[in-house]
Amino acid sequence: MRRNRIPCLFICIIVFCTGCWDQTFLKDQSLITAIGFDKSEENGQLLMSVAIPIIDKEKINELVYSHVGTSARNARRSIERSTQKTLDPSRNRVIILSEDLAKQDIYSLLDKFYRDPRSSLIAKIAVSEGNVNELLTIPLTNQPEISQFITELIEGVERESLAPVQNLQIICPLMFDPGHDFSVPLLRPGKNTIDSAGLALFDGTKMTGKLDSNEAMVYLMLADELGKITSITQKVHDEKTPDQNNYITFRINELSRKLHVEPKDNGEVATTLDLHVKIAVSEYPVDELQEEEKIDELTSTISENLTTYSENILDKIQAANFDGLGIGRHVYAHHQDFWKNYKWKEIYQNVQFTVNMEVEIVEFGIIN
Amino acid sequence: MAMKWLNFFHRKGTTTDDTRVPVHAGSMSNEKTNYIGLEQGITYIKDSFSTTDDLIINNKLFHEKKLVTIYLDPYLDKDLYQKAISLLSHDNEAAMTDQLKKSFDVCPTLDYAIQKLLDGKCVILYEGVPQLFVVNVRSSFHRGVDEPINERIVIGQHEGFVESLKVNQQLLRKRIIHTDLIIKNMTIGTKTNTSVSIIYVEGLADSKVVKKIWNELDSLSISSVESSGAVMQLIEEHSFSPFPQMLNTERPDRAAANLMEGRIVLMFDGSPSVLILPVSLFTFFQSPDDYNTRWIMGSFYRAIRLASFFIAVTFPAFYIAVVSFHPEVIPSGLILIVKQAVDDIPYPHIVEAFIMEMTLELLREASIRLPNPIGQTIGIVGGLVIGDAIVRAGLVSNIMIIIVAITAISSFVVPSHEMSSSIRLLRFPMMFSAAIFGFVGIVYFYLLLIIHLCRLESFGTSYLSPLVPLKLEKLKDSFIRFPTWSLKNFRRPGNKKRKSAFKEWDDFA
Amino acid sequence: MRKNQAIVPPYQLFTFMVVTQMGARGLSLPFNVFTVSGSDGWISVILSGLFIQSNIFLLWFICRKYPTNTLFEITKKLLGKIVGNFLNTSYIAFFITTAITTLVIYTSLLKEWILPYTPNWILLLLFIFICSYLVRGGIKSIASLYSILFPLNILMVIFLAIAHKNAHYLFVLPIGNEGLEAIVLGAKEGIYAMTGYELLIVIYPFIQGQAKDKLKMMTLSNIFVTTVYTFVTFTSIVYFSPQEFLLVPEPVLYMIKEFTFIMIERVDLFFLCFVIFFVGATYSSYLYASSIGLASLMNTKKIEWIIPLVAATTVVVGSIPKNDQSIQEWVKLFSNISFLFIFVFPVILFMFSFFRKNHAGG
Repeated sequence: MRRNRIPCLFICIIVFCTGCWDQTFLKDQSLITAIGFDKSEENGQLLMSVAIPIIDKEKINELVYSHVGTSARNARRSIERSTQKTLDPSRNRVIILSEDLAKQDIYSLLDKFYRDPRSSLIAKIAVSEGNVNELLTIPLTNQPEISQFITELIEGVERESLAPVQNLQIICPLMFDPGHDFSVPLLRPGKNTIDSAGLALFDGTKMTGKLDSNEAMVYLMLADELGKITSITQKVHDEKTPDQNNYITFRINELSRKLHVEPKDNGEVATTLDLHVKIAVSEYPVDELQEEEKIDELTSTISENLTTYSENILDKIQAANFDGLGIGRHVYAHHQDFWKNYKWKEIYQNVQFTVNMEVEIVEFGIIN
Repeated sequence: MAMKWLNFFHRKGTTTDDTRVPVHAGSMSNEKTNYIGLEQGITYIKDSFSTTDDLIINNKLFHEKKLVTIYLDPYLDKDLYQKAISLLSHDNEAAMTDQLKKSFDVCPTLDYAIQKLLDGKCVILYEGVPQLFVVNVRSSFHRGVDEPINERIVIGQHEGFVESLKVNQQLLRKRIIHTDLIIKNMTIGTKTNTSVSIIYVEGLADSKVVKKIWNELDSLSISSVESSGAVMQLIEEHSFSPFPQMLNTERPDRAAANLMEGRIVLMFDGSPSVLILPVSLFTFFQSPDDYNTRWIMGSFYRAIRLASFFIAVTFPAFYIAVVSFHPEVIPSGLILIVKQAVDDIPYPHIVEAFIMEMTLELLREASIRLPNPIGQTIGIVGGLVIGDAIVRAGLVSNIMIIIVAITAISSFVVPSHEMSSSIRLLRFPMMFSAAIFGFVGIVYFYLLLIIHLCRLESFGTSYLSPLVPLKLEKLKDSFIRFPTWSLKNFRRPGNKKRKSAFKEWDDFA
Repeated sequence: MRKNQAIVPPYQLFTFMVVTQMGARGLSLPFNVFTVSGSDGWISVILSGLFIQSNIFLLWFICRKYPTNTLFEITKKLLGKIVGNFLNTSYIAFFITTAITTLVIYTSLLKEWILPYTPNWILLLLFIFICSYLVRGGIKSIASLYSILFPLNILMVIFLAIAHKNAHYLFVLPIGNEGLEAIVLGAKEGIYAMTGYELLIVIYPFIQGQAKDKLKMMTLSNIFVTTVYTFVTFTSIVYFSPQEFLLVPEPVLYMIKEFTFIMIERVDLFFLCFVIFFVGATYSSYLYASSIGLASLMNTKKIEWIIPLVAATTVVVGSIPKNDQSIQEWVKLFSNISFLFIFVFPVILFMFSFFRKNHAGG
């Protein structure tokens, strides 16, 4: 009986005498809440900026540290040396890239985030039109935490259909997929604030184009990736005074999109987009929605406008070689032979889009 | 080199091949010293008791012959004694002898007489009569059958066991009025001669277990039995297990309900708590309240109690693992609050947790020992003053205080005191393993715990029954409590439906 | 030797098999299958399920003839003492090697995902301590534990179902793109991840009930495992794009790394913790099988001596592989030889038992 206990004792001693190898105390770490990448102006190396919350007794302030390095990992080490504490990347909420960096290969910057088991894959990605380091150090009114501000901004943009829902993990499959591309929100630094400036379009891992906010909304409609609220304002009249009366604002209640992809022998791909949009009028000062004729007229105007607008946007994304609608994926899935014969991104320019827009007004608000 | 180390938690059960039929036994009846004459009898009894002062030997003269009454003073009920003596007042000697033989029990031997003396009887010797007589003069008293303070319930019976075996047996008898309720008596303890009753319901209880218990108790050679708890430790099979293998209760309704589920009750004279066996883990989480309220409430509180098991064992360990190994599991909205709380703690979190848990255990122990009004003060001083001061001083984070408080509350939810203590003890090794390996440590410890529970048996019954082996019918009364009519022992025989409460109304319809 | 007693209720055969088959290898199953048969991996998994079903029939036929004997006694009866003992030795070696492989995968998993700095040996030492404690309780404790772990399995599947919110279902199309050969080759990977069912031939005599019930339980468990693994593979395929998939050797964990709930983030850590239970189960099953095999080989009753011995061996050998590459090579080599034991030898045994039947006249 007694001898049974010796191994148990032995194990206890081993366990208690050794140590806690992997202990990483929360109190000894500095949490990174936002990361920004710039191209350093001096030597073209990477300039990494990280926002770190500093907790006082009463409130939380975010300080931004930055350092130049050859790679993301290397720059982080340098920052770590200047902040005394270990940097913990697991709380990172947003990664911001400068536009000139985004136009190079972004995967080489993001690789470290995918590889590290501790890193947070739910961090949002954004591209800044200006210098990222400056963007992170903008003194915001009434908001000491820049990371929170930016995250909420991006979440708001996603909710209002100005950008597709994305995070590090969601864009990853698309980054590698030759038949589908991703886009991320574009930020523009203001004086005491940060604005969303539309979408940055990526061809594979390189940024190749931009859409402004209005275009982004219609693009998301075509891609069937609308957020919770989509509110579009359009000019439907020319002659009314005052000028506000020329516009209508409507919400998209329901959208059904059908995508037909039909490759032809000559390497062209005929793509038909059938959209059925159910809208709700939220602002229309003219108040003429009691007559059926007027409604029909209005619907056709809106649908014509949307169609032309869509065609413009499709041209634009095609010019950027950005396959956000995943046409390539459809070709791959349904027309394997065609896919094998061509290199998709080289013939993407040959895709012929046809947009059939059907608009239906289903709600007028509580007045006509 | 012995490889038996894995049996660490299992004391080898004292398995006896003894198949003796249980006998009603006073263990001393073997030796026989016969009563020869008055003087020899008195001397023998006197010698047996050596020098005790409370042995009273009364000499009286009836019809010029000596009548000696011997009794133990502390037991004496004066009225009973007087009544017994007055019975003997007869005119002549012959009538008195007749009366003596008629009214009183005859003792076969002197040793039997001594045993009866110890039991509170009075021994009567009459010169010239070659027999000994005993008569009961024992005064009986016990405290009222009040509700036990450690097992209160809201709705239901408010009686509790007391220190008297007879009263306790009566409390059970009147709850199960049936010939199948069997009470078997024996005495254990060579010096204390404590009466023990093994109580079960014939046909429901496993006769093998009854026999096993009987043999186990019979083979005990201890000189004294202080309480049921002491015997419990002697007859349980796995004494290195942290889990109690018998349910200790002071509630007659709980005991009766368990009897009806086929369990066995061990009752000890002088002990208000009875032992119920065999038990499973889930037995400890059942309270009579569950059955006295409606099933939805009963299920809810049953589930809460089982959840409290996990909270009480895991919560501090989980906290330690999170703040010292895996802070990434804290959601973004919470992380800064947590970080703010732990930022200035000067030592590892295991120390912090240990300080708080120990403080809590100290408070608990102190408040039990102190008289009631002061006990409450200790609670307030401990809870509020120490808690507040320790956070202000920066020794312990306020999140830790919350964790410890929740843990403490949930460990007291368990309706069995034994189980509640086990749970409180288990969280210390859990905390340590979490401090060394983080989540992996918690999982390792849980794995060990579950394996241990799988291996554990309480008198031949799996400790996790009815979960393992799975008995769906009984599972209805484990995690949650199904409606009373769906439980097996309440089911009406055949296909009979419930009789309508408004039968007359049906006729109108 | 102690008589083989039927002490395990039949439903626990189901949970035993499911819990043994699910384990650390399941985490990289989608990756292994994908590297061979691409986006048709899920078909491969179904195919391997079908193969395993036929294999189960085979094993069951052998067991039914000798309902009170374990594998180690059957071989001796069928092939004679010398050949039988030789086969037993190789089977024991196979079981021990499987246990070692489980440990190797397990440690590399822990090292990569949760505890990068904790030395392997301490994690393994505690792990085998716990598992030996289980195995010493005998088949009854093992089966009991597994029946408790089984519900966790369903919880894990529910976790995975969340991945479908970010799924791109077009990734599975076109079906059959990789061709039949790739799909069949992929099924081999699937079979390897689903091994564990071959232990039927070891635990058969301990299970209560009719032979037919046991077959039913085995079939059910195979259907369950195949369904879950097909679901897991399918989910991984629609979650990762084909090009990204090749970068992710543990797709199941990587997938749930992104999930967030209100109260907790990083669900993968919790998921991994659940996996530890199942790894422990897989390891214990093989430890048990090899221990009773050794006991039968050495003709000794002292199985409680053998268990810690075998466990210690597995730890010593299991700590040898030091880097990811050698682990991969080890696993690859092992998966090839395992085919011999789960299929080829049973076929031989089956043929012999057929022959013997006529010889012995029933």
